[in-house]
Amino acid sequence: MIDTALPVSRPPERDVNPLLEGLREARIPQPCAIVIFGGSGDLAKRKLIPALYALASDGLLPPGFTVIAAGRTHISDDEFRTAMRADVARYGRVELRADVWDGFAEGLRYVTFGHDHDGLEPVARALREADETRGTAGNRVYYFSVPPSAVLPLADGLAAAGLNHEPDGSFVRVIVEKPFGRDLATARELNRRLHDVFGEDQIYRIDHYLGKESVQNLLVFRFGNGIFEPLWNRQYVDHVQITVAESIGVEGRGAYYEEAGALRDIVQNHIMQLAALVGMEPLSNFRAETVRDEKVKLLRAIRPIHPDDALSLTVRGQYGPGWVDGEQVPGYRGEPGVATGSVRETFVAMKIDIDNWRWAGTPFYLRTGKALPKRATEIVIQFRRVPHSPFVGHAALPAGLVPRDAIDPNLLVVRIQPDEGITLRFSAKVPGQALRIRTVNMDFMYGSAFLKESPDAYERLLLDCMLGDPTLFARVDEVEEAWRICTAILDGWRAHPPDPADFPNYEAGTWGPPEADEFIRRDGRVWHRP
Amino acid sequence: MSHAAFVVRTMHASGPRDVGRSLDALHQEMVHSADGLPYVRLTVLNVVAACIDDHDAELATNVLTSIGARHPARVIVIHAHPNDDEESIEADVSLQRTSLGKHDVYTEVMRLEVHGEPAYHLTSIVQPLLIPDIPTDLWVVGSPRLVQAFSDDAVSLCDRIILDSGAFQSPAVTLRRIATEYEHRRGRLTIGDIAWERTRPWRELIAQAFDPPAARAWLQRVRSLRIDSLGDRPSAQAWLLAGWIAARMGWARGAEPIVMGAVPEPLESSGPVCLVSMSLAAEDDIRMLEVETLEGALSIVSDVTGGHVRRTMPYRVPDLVTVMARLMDEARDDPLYPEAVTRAAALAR
Repeated sequence: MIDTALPVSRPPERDVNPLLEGLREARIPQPCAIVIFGGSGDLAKRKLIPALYALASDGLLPPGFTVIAAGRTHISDDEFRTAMRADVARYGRVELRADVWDGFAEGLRYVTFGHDHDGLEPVARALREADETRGTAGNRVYYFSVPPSAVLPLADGLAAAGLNHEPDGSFVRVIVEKPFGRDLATARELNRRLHDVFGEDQIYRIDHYLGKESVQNLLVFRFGNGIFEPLWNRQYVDHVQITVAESIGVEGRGAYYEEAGALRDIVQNHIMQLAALVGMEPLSNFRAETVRDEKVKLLRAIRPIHPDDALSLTVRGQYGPGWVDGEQVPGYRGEPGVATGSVRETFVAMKIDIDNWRWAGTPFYLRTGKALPKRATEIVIQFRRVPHSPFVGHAALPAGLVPRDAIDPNLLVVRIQPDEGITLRFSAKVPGQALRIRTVNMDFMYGSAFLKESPDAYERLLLDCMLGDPTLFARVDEVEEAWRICTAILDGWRAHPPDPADFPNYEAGTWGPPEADEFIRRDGRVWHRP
Repeated sequence: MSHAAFVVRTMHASGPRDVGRSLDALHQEMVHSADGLPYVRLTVLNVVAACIDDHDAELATNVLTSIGARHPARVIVIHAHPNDDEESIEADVSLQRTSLGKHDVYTEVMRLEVHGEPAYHLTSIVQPLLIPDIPTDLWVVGSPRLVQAFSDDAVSLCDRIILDSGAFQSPAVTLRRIATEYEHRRGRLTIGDIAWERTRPWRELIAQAFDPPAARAWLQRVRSLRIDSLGDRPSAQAWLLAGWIAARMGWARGAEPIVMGAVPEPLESSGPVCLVSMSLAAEDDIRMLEVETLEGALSIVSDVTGGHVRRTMPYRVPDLVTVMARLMDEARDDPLYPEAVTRAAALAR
């Protein structure tokens, strides 16, 4: 044994962790407690608890980390732990290990709650206990996994109980799920009242799309490569398509969907966020406010849609019975909770114009729908055709003359899900004496390139919130700008409701109503087939 | 992490020029193969594995083809026989395919047996076989004499030298040699050390324990560090961990409060298991932080913030394939390594 024990001569500074400096993968929050309101619900058991367990398994949670699940049903801590253990085993990304689970479960509590001061006392008590016994130091994250109608009462209740305050040196943050309102007016009201209780820097509006690796990679792709950004503008891009296709129907959420519809459910949040990321200007740095400022600038540049133009700039659809994945599925009107004469849209196609120097004259086509042939989310950048084909009218080329229009334009396809990756389509000569040109794809598959399992979007976002990094969360002005566009469309649709006899207008398992194809064909373009 | 690779085709070659021609021929065959799948060449780096015996050459070939799917490479495994009288360069050139669902990834493997005088001029053999414009790693497999690995020729050939400071008979001598090279080459040397990479989970866990502000203050009161490793003397991993902590904590040279312990190895081979436990203690020994290996897990027990907290992370001592894949994830030098190895070398004197 070698003993070199001598006194320490130069201790590290008090507020510095010298051991963390230079480490490449250490991102760990301060000790904190997360309170999941709606803790016995579906999101908690399928996503949130498994995501937190995966973080624990990866060693990314702080010592003393505590989860307080607050629900309506009366169950004990032990019953809750037993149920969550089974859910983590069933839905989790990482293998359940007894020793890791035991450590995680030590900090797992369940309490029943109500929205008022008294109803929140069990939560307050559990938080105090966590501070005293687990060292969570007053740091809290509240996850509102509750129905939209319960968000404001819960926020008010937290304020009444004094649970929204951040004592010196500690943090209180709240994660709010979409929908962030039903239109611009209700979104503003929701934000105003949330701001009565929490500062904007405490509010984390979650859109799980932004937690996906491929969405984050979009920024790296754009701003980490020198060759694409010079082409990323009206000079070279003919148009952009963003598709969020779902093969499932409303799956028992008919009542919710009757209130929401595809525009509110997908376009206002997911698609507008993707459009902002695709279209925004280059970043000067990767700070949260810089990223969000640039997204807002893009959203503000989207040309306002007058309600009278809503019909000409959009196509609505609703699915009828059909076949998806080899299974017969009912039409939307056959779903539980849906009115027999419902005219709620399950499909939207629309065009937006962006009035700025970069994108003027280059439209963005947006599309989303339920009961489409496959689940796919992708962004397609279609470049302009070659200005001239040299492969025509030459005697030396007797066969396979190729006019300009026969040369397919280049496409850059960013697949968000599934099979995250990027494909570049370009033209190549088919080997042989004749001059024949065909398109080939150069594929980058995220999974096969790195062979490393990506963290689930909720893992990323929960960790970011605990770390106080709001980059991948929507800020108040982003939400309101997106509503500005969508509310005008909703107003136009309300003024011109569809004839119930016109719906359904597409069969489940098809790519939407024929009007959607005609809509883009009028501009001399076609939808990319995911 | 690793995926099974299958040899698609092998050709034998004699002499370096024949090696290149054989590889071209293999590619042509693949392009014209009739399986209907596109043949895509994707190569992200050259890896030259320098070996001194058959066992090491076999090991290097297996490891590098196993990670070929994650790091598609041109692999050149050289087994030098400098003491042979007869001069010859014999090679087996093969394409190895790893299937990933719909996609195939190919690794080009050249295994060279170099006999006689040419074995003293390996750089001239390797240089023409490298794919230009991509990084080159030189992996010094096993425990050869480091003088050749750190020769000017070898250093100029590659962007990084990969070695395992834990593979050598004397960790102290090896660490000092590495530290000397760093000092001598002043920023012109990049090393990937397998032993250092194996300490990474420990370093992360220890660092995370001090991230809460309340715990940071406790760092000022640290008065002793103890590290135990398997074997009859402190291992390279143990010295590197100690060197890292001493350097990061700003402990004065020669005044480090460190106790290094060695735990006898069990009868059955423990493989790459090396670090056993680490503890930091305050002067009163009341508050401590301990990290230890348990069955399939790393456990950290801390009472530095007043509450007794235990965290357990799944941890399997990674095999060589996993460690190499992880090293290759990071093409750049680890900025912490030079100061850690320099300090470790000083501690191990």
